[in-house]
Amino acid sequence: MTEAPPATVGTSAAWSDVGRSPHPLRDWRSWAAGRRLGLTLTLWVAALLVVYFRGWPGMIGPWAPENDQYAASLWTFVPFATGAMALWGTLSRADWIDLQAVTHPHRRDTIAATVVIAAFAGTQALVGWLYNLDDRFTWFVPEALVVFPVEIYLLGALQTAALLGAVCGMVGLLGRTLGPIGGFACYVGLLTIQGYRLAPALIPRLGDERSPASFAGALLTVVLGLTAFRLSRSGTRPVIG
Amino acid sequence: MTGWRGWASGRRPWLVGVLWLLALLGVYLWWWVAGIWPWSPWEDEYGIFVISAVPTLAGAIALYGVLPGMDWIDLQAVTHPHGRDTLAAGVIVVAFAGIPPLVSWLFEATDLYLRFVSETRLPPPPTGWFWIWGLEVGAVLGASCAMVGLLGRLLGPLTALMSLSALLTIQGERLAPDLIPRVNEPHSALSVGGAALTVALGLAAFRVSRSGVRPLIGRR
Repeated sequence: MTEAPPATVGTSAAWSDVGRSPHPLRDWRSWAAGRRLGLTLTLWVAALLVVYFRGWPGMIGPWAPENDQYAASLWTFVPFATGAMALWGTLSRADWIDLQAVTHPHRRDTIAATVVIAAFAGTQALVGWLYNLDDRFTWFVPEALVVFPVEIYLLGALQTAALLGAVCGMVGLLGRTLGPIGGFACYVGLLTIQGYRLAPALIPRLGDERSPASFAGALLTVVLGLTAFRLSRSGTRPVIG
Repeated sequence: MTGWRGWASGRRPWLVGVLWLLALLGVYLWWWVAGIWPWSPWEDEYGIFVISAVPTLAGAIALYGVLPGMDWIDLQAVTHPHGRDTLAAGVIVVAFAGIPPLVSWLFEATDLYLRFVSETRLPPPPTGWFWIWGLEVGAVLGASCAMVGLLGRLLGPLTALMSLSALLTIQGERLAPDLIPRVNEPHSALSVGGAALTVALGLAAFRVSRSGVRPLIGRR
């Protein structure tokens, strides 16, 4: 008796072989293709670096030049970090559709990014106003408290606006996923420049005297960042990648 | 298709709104170093630590990186990628929880850190604390996985902020000293077991909800 011929394409046996063979959708590589593992890995490295460089009270750089009483502060970090993440909420993921769209949604994206900048920078000004409005905050702060003057909150808002403008610029440079994450480098850079007073005329500390050049620089950063954001089609076509 | 409504349908403007509210509340309730509620009971010298907060929040955001975004395709898939999703979530929990012990090891392995620590530095925290911080990160990330199963893929990781806030409040106010003690206090087998159970249950909820595609709340 002769052996049965091997299964060939087109037979039911061939289809069952396909089911048993390494299917292109069943391995880790294809699983990863639908996800953003680069984001996960980047965040892990970022967390490791932050904890290593900043985890220890008394560290001096680059996040915290605490030896000179100037360091990362929550009230400047939180609006910036949440604003950078909020940009993800305004960025489209449907590349294929967006790039063919006849309705040009990128202009609206730029307007939305501007609103994000104004809204998140405005949280500090709003909180400053709330603190000076009534004494409700004494419910959750000690009695021996000193409220910052309103000007400090307004300067903090300007700083956050400049940072978020720089984040928009990073979206134009690095794209939609890495751009907002890359904004953290801007924050570290700002703190370092302020902490060590590397450019006191252009980027002074919040408590130092400010020149017109510093205001103009902050506004210019916002304008240039939004322009880069728009030119890259909301990061769909970034300069790098 | 040319209106703002059409534009918004392809995006997540409400994520922007939620983050804005979080920023406002975070700054208003906690910007003050000496704030006493709800994040930092500083009056008793116990507050939030960068060592635990950063890996926790970064790990929660990292969950977004392994969650699928294509419902229509995923729900029809015959290849069941959710097992891999759960495995990947488990890896994230371990990887980010491992950061504090890894940093502790790095501090001991090399004196590179002396280049960025002031000369009048405090003594390093005991190694055991880093392990406890790692345990905390793992537990909060496990809870975040559970919240993915409960609330879905978008809101689930965001709730890490709530879980971390609750953990700090319980520790700071010593509400459950046996189950959730402070980092610098003795840990019982119960507290370690509770953290491990949180991770296990969180990953189970994550898997049952199909990586949050079919969450318990918001099921369609």
